[in-house]
Amino acid sequence: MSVLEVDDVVVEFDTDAGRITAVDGVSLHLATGETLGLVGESGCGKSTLARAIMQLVPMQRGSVRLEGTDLGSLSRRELRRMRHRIQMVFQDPRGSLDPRMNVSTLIGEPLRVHGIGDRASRAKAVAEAMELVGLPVAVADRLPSELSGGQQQRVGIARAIVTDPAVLVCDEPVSALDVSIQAQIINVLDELRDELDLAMLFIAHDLSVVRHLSDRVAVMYLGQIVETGTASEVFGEPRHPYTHGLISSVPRADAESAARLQTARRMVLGELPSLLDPPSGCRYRTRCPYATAQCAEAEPPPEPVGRAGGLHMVRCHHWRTIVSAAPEPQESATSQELAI
Amino acid sequence: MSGMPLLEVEDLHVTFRTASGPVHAVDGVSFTMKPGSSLGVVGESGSGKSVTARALLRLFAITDDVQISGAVHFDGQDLLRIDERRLRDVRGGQIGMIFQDPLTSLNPLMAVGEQIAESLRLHRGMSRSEAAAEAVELLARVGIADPEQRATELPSSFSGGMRQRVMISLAIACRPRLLIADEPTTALDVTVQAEILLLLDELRRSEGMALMLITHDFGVVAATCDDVQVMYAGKLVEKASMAHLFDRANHPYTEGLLRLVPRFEDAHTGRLHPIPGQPPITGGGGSSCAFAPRCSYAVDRCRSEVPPEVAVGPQHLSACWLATDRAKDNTEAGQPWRRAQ
Amino acid sequence: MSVIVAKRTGTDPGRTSQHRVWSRLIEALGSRGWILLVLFLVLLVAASIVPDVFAPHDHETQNLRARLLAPGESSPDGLHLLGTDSLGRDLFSRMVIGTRLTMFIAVTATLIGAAIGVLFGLLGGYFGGRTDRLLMRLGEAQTAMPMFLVAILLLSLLGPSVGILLVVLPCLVWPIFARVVRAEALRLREETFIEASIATGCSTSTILGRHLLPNVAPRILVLCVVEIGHVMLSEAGLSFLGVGVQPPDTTWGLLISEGRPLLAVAWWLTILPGVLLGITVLVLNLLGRYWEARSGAAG
Repeated sequence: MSVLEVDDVVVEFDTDAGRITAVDGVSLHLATGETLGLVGESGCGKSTLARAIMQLVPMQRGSVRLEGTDLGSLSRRELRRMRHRIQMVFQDPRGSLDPRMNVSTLIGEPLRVHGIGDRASRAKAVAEAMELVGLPVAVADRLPSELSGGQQQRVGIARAIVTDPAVLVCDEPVSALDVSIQAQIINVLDELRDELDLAMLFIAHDLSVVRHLSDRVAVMYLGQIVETGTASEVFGEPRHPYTHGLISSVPRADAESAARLQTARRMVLGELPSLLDPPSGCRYRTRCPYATAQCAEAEPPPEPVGRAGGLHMVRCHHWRTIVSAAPEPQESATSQELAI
Repeated sequence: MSGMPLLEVEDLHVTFRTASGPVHAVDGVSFTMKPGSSLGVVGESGSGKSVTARALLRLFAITDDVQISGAVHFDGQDLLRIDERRLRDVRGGQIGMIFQDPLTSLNPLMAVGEQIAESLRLHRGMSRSEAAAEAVELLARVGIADPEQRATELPSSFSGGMRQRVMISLAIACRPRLLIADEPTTALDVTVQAEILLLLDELRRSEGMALMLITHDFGVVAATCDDVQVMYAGKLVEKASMAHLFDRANHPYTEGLLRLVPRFEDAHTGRLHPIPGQPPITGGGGSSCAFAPRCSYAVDRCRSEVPPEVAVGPQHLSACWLATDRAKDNTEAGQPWRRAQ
Repeated sequence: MSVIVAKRTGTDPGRTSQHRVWSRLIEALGSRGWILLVLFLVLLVAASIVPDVFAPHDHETQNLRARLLAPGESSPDGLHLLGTDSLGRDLFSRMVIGTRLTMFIAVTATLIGAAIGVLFGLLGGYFGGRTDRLLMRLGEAQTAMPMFLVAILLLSLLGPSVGILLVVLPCLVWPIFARVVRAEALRLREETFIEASIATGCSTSTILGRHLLPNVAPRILVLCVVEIGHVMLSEAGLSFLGVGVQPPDTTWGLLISEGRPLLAVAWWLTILPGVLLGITVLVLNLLGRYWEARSGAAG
């Protein structure tokens, strides 16, 4: 059963230049212990979607159901009470921590505001959370400014898991960190998910990281999910030209790196269109090498790929005809691939 | 190995004097670049890779209390010893530079075409109309559509990727013989990054200029550079051709960096292998291998003596006391970092 | 903190040269100078708590034979360090006694003003929108009115009393607090940690009280110190005009006022309390700005 069900969510914003639809009818679901990776370029609406799921920005349409409860139907007070079941890890580790609170106060705060346990049991829970995320006891009294970036993000994660949530939403949790620290934080999230049986929505622009952590993946473009499926389906056999372009864009430390970038350039043309004036029909058609007149007229519906009842869905009129255009190296790399 | 080197850096040291003591940001770095070659400089933040590039052109803030020593031979002159006026000719003239954040390097109140034209008039002595025409030409060459129109626009009306293209056109305006790109794509999306990397590679070949690309991402180097050098705590720890390095990474730090990031081609294969600990904040300058505290192979000698650069293959240097042994292991048993997976 | 300094100079160009003077003064203080300033304030506080320890004479004892003695002259009662007034009362003792009420009014009025200003500033800054517009218009309307004249009018209508002063003086300072706190709250509202606290499930009062307030507290404290000086000046002004504190109570402002008719014959009666008032205001200002500069340097 899905612990989180997001159905047809629409988020609109008023900007100086006019109204934009940042999230345009997104539906997704998450089961316990499962990780859904959400990828897309900046401005595709993935962070806004995360905030809509967290009920931090108002939705124009759609519903977010957490463990069966429609969050949109709750009063402010009821929503606040539900929040300990869904928590978030933010991109900016330092900015997401109150600079005047020390580590143990920060981690204990969610317990305090939800009135979970007494003072002693809270202290114990804080200590456990610190151990889970790999924070030494010695930093308990420190302020965020006295911690390294990696430690700050560990505090952010500890805060998010201390209330034992069902769902963890991670919005670019490692992109502000140095490479060697990224690996540490990814491992922390990986371990936590296994240990706490969390449902995790993992948002990142780094496809390698997403592939490493995710069971399923959703690719977002201009507010819509254009392809979704298991990580090996989406990344191994991409059907949407945009997914294919994204995958080819990832610079890999191997000999075909430059050739792959050429593919990327063929699959993703030109510039991201403005959200103020999104293309008619298929959102991707202005950058798509396969676009036809049909793409401008009708918005492609999500279509199942492969076996019936499978998870792999794509929104493209031409996915059947362009399958052959996606020769991607499968699964794990072989030594030959790296050899020069 | 034929021909004069374009750039020859000898024993470069850069020390910042800060309130909490000296920081040896660059600690005895030597390397050469041939005309038209491409070199990737890889390291974590604080490794000294950016400072090295800035030191070549003495690009430091006035507020920095910085001490530079060594020699930077470029085109028959020592850039560290020529006066400020001649150095200004080299900057933006024979050596172009682009940075991570193009917005801060462009004048926000001046049309981009004018900014390029200004540089052309300054460095290439062009007339106003010649420079304006050439500016449009340059914008077209870096792949900006409708260049006549866009030349009249302000930097703020360009997207991140387009701004970086403008920066590149500005950097190549004076036909530099060396282009230094400091994390040019770190702030960009992958699809835009792909285009910028391809553009840099194509320009290098068509303009015949050398490219020095500073990054933390081996993938970026692989796509654009023939040679690579890895920096740690202000020192070069490994130098090799890119192709050679994938197969035979020798230095434990390089090995750590390579196995640190999840590789896209792998599905979930267990935990990642982070390098424990953090780089020293005071840079180099110690009497031991700076990486020893984080190195799982470290022996006593690593903690008492600075390792020299050892040749471990053709044009492959590694600054590690275990370099020779590790090179042997590599050929016998393949890459340890690959074996681990 | 440095950002805030820039903002203040940015909105008020006249402030820059003034600002330079202050930073010179602060530089001149060096790293230990502030101890002297604090010591001075400690003396003032001590004088208001136990005036008898400091006052050499009884401040109410009149001695017509010792009228208008210049500073340093002696009467049969002993040395009058700062001279005597027209009734022969010892000026130094009167200044010591006046300290209590001067300090009491200034500190209390500032705290009341700060409380109102902080509350309005937090609410306006955090909620924005209509709440913010309403509160800020109120502050602006008040700033635009010649509040000092309104105060005079009010006090002359209702009759001067310390109680009314404690209503009127806070009105002069709350808009300053509201403005500063609002600016800080506006900035902090955009910080991720506020969003993070909402996501965590904090209530609005928790966010205002536990997250916003502690983060603006250092600025409020500094502002309090500076504003105490300004309130002191306003009180002195009102008392000088006869609509402030009334005898037999006394404050420095009232002393200045009482000495004014005799300025030609007994300058010390006006000048000396004036100097004390001036020094106190300067010390408070310096200390406030010193702390601000130091906390700014620390991050």
